[in-house]
Order: sequence, then structure tokens, then C-alpha cells
Amino acid sequence: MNRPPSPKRSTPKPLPRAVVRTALMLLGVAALWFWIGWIDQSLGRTSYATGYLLFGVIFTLAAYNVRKRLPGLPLGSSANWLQLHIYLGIGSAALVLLHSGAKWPTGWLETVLAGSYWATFASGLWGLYLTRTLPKQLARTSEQYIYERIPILRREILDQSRTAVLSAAGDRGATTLAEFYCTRLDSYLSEPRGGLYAIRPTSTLRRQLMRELSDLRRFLSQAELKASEVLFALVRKKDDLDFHESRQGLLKRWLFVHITLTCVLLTSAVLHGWLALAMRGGVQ
Amino acid sequence: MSDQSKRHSLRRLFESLAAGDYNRPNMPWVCGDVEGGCPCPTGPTVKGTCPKVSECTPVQQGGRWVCDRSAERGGPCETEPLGGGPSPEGICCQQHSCRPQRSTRRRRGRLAIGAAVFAAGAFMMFIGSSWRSNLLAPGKLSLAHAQLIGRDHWKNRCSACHPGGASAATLVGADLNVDVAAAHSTQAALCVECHKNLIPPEHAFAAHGLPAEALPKKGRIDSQIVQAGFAAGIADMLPLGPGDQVACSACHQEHQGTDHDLTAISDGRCQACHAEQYQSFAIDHPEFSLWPFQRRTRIAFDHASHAGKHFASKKESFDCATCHVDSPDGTSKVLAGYEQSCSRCHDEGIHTSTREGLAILSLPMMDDRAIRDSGAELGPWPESATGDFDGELPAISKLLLASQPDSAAVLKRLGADFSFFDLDPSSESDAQDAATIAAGVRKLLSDIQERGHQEILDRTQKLQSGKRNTNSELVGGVPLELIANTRERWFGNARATPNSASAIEQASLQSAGGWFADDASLSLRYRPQGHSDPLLKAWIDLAVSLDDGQADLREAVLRELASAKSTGTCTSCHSVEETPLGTLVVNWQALDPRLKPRQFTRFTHRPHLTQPELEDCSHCHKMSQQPPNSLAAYSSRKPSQFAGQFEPISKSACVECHQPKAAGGACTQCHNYHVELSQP
Repeated sequence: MNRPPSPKRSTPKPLPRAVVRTALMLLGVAALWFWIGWIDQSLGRTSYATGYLLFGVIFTLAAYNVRKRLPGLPLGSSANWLQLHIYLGIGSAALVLLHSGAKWPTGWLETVLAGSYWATFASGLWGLYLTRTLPKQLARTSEQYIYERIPILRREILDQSRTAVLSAAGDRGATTLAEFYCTRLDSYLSEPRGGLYAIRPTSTLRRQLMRELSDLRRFLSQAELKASEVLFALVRKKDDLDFHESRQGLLKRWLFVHITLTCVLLTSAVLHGWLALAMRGGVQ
Repeated sequence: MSDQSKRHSLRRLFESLAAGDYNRPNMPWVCGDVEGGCPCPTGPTVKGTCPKVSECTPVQQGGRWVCDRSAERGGPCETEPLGGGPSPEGICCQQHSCRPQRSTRRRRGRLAIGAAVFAAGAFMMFIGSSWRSNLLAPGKLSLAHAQLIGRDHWKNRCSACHPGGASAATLVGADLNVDVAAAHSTQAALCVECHKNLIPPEHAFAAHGLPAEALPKKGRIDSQIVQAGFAAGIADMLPLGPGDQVACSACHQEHQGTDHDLTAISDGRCQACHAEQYQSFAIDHPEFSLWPFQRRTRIAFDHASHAGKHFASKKESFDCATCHVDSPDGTSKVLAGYEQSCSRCHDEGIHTSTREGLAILSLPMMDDRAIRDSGAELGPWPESATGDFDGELPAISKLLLASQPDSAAVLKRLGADFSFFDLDPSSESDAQDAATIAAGVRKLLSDIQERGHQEILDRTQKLQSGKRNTNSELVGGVPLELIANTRERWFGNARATPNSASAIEQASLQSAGGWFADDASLSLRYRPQGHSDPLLKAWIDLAVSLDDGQADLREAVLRELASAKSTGTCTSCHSVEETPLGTLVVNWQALDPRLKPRQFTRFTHRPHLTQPELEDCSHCHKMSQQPPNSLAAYSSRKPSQFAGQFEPISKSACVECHQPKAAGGACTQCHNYHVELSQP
């Protein structure tokens, strides 16, 4: 006798990893809060407890940079390290607030230390934002380019554009396209974009050049028309290259800021810890 | 083909670079032609030099150098117009050289390290400069310390509190445990050095600054404290354990700004060492039990009888404020003096008790026949004092005679409380003792006459185990002429006219205090000045200061001078009590709260009395419905044995206002941490 098929049991969907990790981070912060409260109620020096812990956290955060340079060692995947870096970094803000009593310091060295921490923290948040938004923007282009290869590819585009223009100019002395190329396209194709584009890239210039090239088509010969098609593609590709250079460059420049601030933070933290231990009170 | 040419010929077409090659970001140097888009595939060396590769390695053919670049790499260089092939010297026409650039990673690393070195260098520069103190301070000092330490001319002011702050070298040494810092010991010791008036150094770091045995048993530090599980060495984070020393910095954190209250501490931290812990004053703080009445008052005073009987009989209101007045600084309530509080009623009683004066020296009746029969000699003795043994030595006489070995022996043998009436005339020893006393009395007068007031002081000095006695109040300014005349009349010229005035008559003439001799009773007497007579006070103090080796003498003297019916009736109000050391003391003064050793609990009346409902003292100090006889307890010398006439102050009286959002209920509002041992 055929039994009716048993109803399918729906397996519960696992929680998103971000939710789990955020919950763990909040749990850690809560545990920290109670731990510090317990030390305080026991006449312990909470500033030293949080200080030691904070130094360890910052050292662990900074160790991510070292981890990236040691790919051969079994230290866990870089992706996991990045996740740890993000959640530990955000959680460290709570630790700093506990350590400083949620007050801005008034001493010179402590001000430098607090400033470098919060600058590093802010740059970290900014970097988190960039790493979440830039890849989506970059994925919208036709191709993906490696940042270090962009100058080479730009040179390649330039060579191709010049070859196309020169081959068209050889056809019965047609110079319209060549003149347009020299006045409008050669500098565009040969050089990277300016500082403003690096801050806020737009497609205004690309659209303008393509519009001008389109307007020029009725004056072109057959050979020039063929070459203009090539130029259309190259202008688009150059714009994509510029966009990648701008966005990826932003990420690399951000890392300059973030790592530099981290080094200043580490140095200040070491000096602060050294002073705190040298000047600590106590019976012994 | 040479190795070098092989290496150079390994170059690939430029075009193939875009297809698949990848400049790995970990390389420290990149080709300088990268920005131009034509990097050479070899790249700079590790040290950042350009290898200057060429397109080919020319070969010599028939006396001419020919380009040998392979077809896969573009074939031989064009002779025109690109350069014309290899030079006559055999050098390729296309040589690529660049100025290598540091890679992005390397530049980032240099910037980061440079920033770190700059930060460290700047710090080291400042730490060696005169601005060091300003720059190292983590925050402003509290006002109390700043006004002492923050003076500009004091360069190394950090070292006032931090042993490691004396100099840059010491700063390093302190952290590296170099002996440079040893001279200044620890920070806690530096704290105590300035605050030693408040915190005795010997127990400064013990809980409450007291030895363990002085702590109330329930609150001792050896109660259960949860231990942390951290490794040793991170001592600053560890909670305190039994027997641990408490550093000043455990509770007092400086560098929190000028307005920071150094004494502020949370209730939780206050209770860190206590077995019994409380959430808040209003909720679960225990009742006050007997506080503030933990011993009897020093001045014996029966509130109930005064309120209900004495004041009522005079139709006067019994107002607390008549006697309990504000101290000059307004922080406490103190007792008004005798003149303001008591003299109106008690002067008469004191006057009455002193109307006959106090007998300083009195000649007993001597049985000269019994003395002769015993083989002793009575010596010069007034006729009127001769007869059956009778009379007693006054207390002060006993004290003065006790300094003479022979008289002291008699007093010891017969008992300091003996009466001549109890002597047995048929007893040779009694008779001889009587003769010894008589001789002692004569010698006393003779010595005083010869040596003056110093004789009295010297005799009392012997009583007090040789302790130097300069208290001239013991002498009372006794006129030496009186001594001489009295001696003359009693032991000298039998025909001298005795003074016919009675003791009362003579005493009445000395209402402001003075000496006289009563020939009727053969006594030298002193009329006290009234309340707080210095001579009476001095001799009572002398009596209580005698040690237990002279307990018999002491008690005999006190029974005469310090009883309810004594001259002056001093101790009917001024209690005699036993100190914790076992000695006796007379409470001449009422308690002045301002002079009390700093105790666990403090209370200030002033802020409370601004409340209209608290102006009536009975709001907190309620007399019992049936008050016991408080004066009965004063027959004991133990101050802890008392019968209070007021109800213990209830916590409910305080909780009404001392709520967290009202007057507050923090531990430190009423309790001190730093306490002092009670004075014996």
C-alpha cells in the first residue's frame, strides 16, 4: 500500500552571521561591564584592568596588518580576521568609554592618545563604509581591473586609440577625426583624472566627449567612422579605468590614514601605559 | 650567451603584461615607468636599483654589431627610425632605465613608522624639558593639592606624590626598579608623610587605619571576599583579600580636575571588605541599636527628675537649649558651662557643703598613757587632744603622711580607712602606731614651715612614683604664717591664746576661699572657692592617679573627697570612671564632640536644625515613657554600665529625609573611613 508522502519539514533558517556576531559583541560588552563593576566594588583599580585589556585589544586589531603579510602561517583566514577586526574595533569603543569614564581627558598625552584612538575609530568606521559600498559601485563597470595594472592598461588604451586614428587618417587624407582626437581625446586618454574626480567621480566628461564624438560622425569618412567606433569603446573603457583608479585609490589612501593613525595610537598607548605603571600608587 | 644576456632575454612582450601578469603588492620597489604604462617586467632590485635592461644583446657579425632580438619579441630593432640598431660599441639601441619608486605598501609603512617615531621622539623631547610636569600630568589636580603643589617655581612637583616623578632618569628608573626611586619609597608613604596628623603612620594602610583587633568584629577585613582568578603580577586589578593593605590610591584618585572631590567614593566600594552589605540606607541599613548612647554621660544628670520635678517645682520650662548650646563653629552641640546651666540652683548646695571648710589636717585624740605604757613617746601634743583614742585623719593628711615611710607603714598596717577610735589602748602596737602618726603630723607641719610649699609638692611626688609634680593647685597657696602660728599654738607655747571663732564662723569669713585653723577641733581647714575649686580638684585628681599598689589609700581618700556628701559634692555630678587602660579619671568636663577622636560615625547638628520640624530636640531625642534612675549607674565606675533615659534614635527618623533623591543616603554622609583610636 502506498503511503501518502510525509509533509516536508521546513528547517529553521539560521540567523544571519552579522546578527550572531553582533549579539556576541554585545554580550562581550555586557560581560565586560559586569567584570569592571566587580573589580570596582572590590576596591580594585579598574583603570588598570581596562587599560591592560584595551592595550591587548588594540594590539590584536593592529595584528591584522601583520596577519596579511604572513599568508603561509596557519593563523586563520584573512576573512575571519577581518570580521574579528571589525567587531573588536567597534567593541573597543565601549572599552575606551569604560577606561576613560566617558570623559574627555585633560592631560596632554592622554588627549593625544584619545584623539588618535577616536580618529582611528572614525577612520575604521569610514573604512567599513567604504568596503561595503565601493565594491558594489565597482561591480557596475563592464570589467574589473587590478589597481596596480591601471597605468599599463591606460597606456594600452592610448596606443590603441592612436593606432585607430592614424589608420583612419591615412585614408585619403581625412583629418577631421585626427584633429578632434588631438584637441579633445588625446589628453583625456593619456592622463589620469584630476583631484576632484578622485574625491567625487562623475561621468560628465565621458558623456560630453561621447556626445561630441557623436556630433562629429556626420563629418567623418567611412574609415574615420570605423575609427570613431573604436574611440567610443576606448573612451568608455578609459572612464571605467578612471573610476576604478579613483575608487580603489580611495580605499588605498584610506588605509594610509588608518594604519598611520594606528601606529600613532600604538605609540601613544605604550607611552601612556609606561607612565601609568611608573606613576601608579600603591603600598608597595 | 652570457648569464646576463640570458637574464635580459627573459623579458616578455609588453603586450603580454596586460594579459595576465600581476604586480604583487608586497614588492618594496616598482619600476619607475609604471605611471607611463611601460614598466619593465624585471622590475627594480630588492635594494631599489634599476637593472637597466635592454631589448637585445647585440652579436658581432662581420665586424658589425647586429640586433638579435627574437621574432617572438618583435624581431630585430628597426634600423630607421627607432635608433638604428646597436651602436658601434655593441650597445643595444633601446635601453630601459628608470628611477624606481617605492611601492604603495612600502610608502604606507614608512609613513606609519615615521609617524610613530615622530610621536615617540616628541614625547622623549618633552619629557626631558622643563615642561615635563605640565605635559605628563593626566589631568588637573584637585584644588586642595593644586594650591600646594601647583606652584610654578616647583619644577619637580610630580615627585611630591610620585616617587617616579623626580626626574626623567628617575621616571625610567622607577619602572625598571632601579634604586634611584628607592629614596622616596612609595606613593602611599608620601601621602602619609603629609597627612600624618590625620592618619597615624603605624596603621596607615590597614583597614580604617586601625589594628585588626580594634575593628568591630562583624566588619573585619578577614570576612569572606571573593578572590579573582588572575595571574599574580597584575596586582592592581586584584580585589583586596584578607589582611591586604589598602593603599591611598585605592579610594582617592587624583588628576580628575579642580572640582573633583577626593573623598567621594561609591557605596559599593565602601562595602568592599564588609561581610554584611547593604543596598541603601533607606532599604536595608540596620537599625542604629544604642547609637548614640553607647556609654553614660560624663556629667551625671538626671533629665527625667530635672524635667519632671526640679524645674516643675520652680515653674520653669525645661528647655534643652538652655544647656545644650551650639559650639562656636556651629558644627556641634556642646554643654553650656556651669555658670549658665547649673549655678542658679546648685551654687547653694555647694556653698552649704563647704560651710565648715575641708579639713586638711586634724589632730586626733591620743591616749598618752597607753602610748607611754607601750614604751613609745607621744611628744608635744595639745592637752585638748589628749584622752581616749578617737578621731580620724583627713584624706589629704593621709596622702601627705603616706609619703613618710613610718607613717605609710602604719597606714598599711591599720588600713588607710582606720579610725583612732578603733585602736586598742592595751595593744602596744596600736599605741606605738598612734605615736608614729602623731610624730608624723608634727613632722609634716614642721617640714612645711621649714621648706614651704615645695614640701607639699615633694610629698605628693613621692606618692606618684617619683613623677615630677609642679601642680601648685595642690598647695592652694596655704599661708606659711598660718602654719607657723598653728604649730606654735598646738605644739609650742601652751599659753598661746587659741582662736575662739568656730570653724563655721571662720569659714564664712573666707567665702572666696581661704585657709584657717580651728583650734576647737584642732584642724587646719580650707574653705573652697565654690564650684570648680582648684585645690579640691587637684587633690581628687591626685587620688585617682594612684596606682593599684595604693588602692587602699586611694579608695579611702575618694570615699572622703569624692562622695555625695563630700565637701563640694564634686563627684555627685562629675563622674569617676575607669578608662580602657584600667586607670581612673574624673570627668571634670562634659564631652566636647569636637575633641572626640574621629570615629566611624559622625553627625552634625547644624544642617539638621535648619529644618523647622527638627528645631524641637525631642523629634530625635525622645525621653523614655518610664525613664529609669540614671544616677544609680554612677555607683559603678564602668561607663558602659548605664541606664539611658532617652529612647535610642531610630533609623526611621532619618529615613524620612535621607532618601536617594532627597537628602541622600551615601555611606560617606555619616561614616568615616579614617578613624582614630579612642584615647584612654
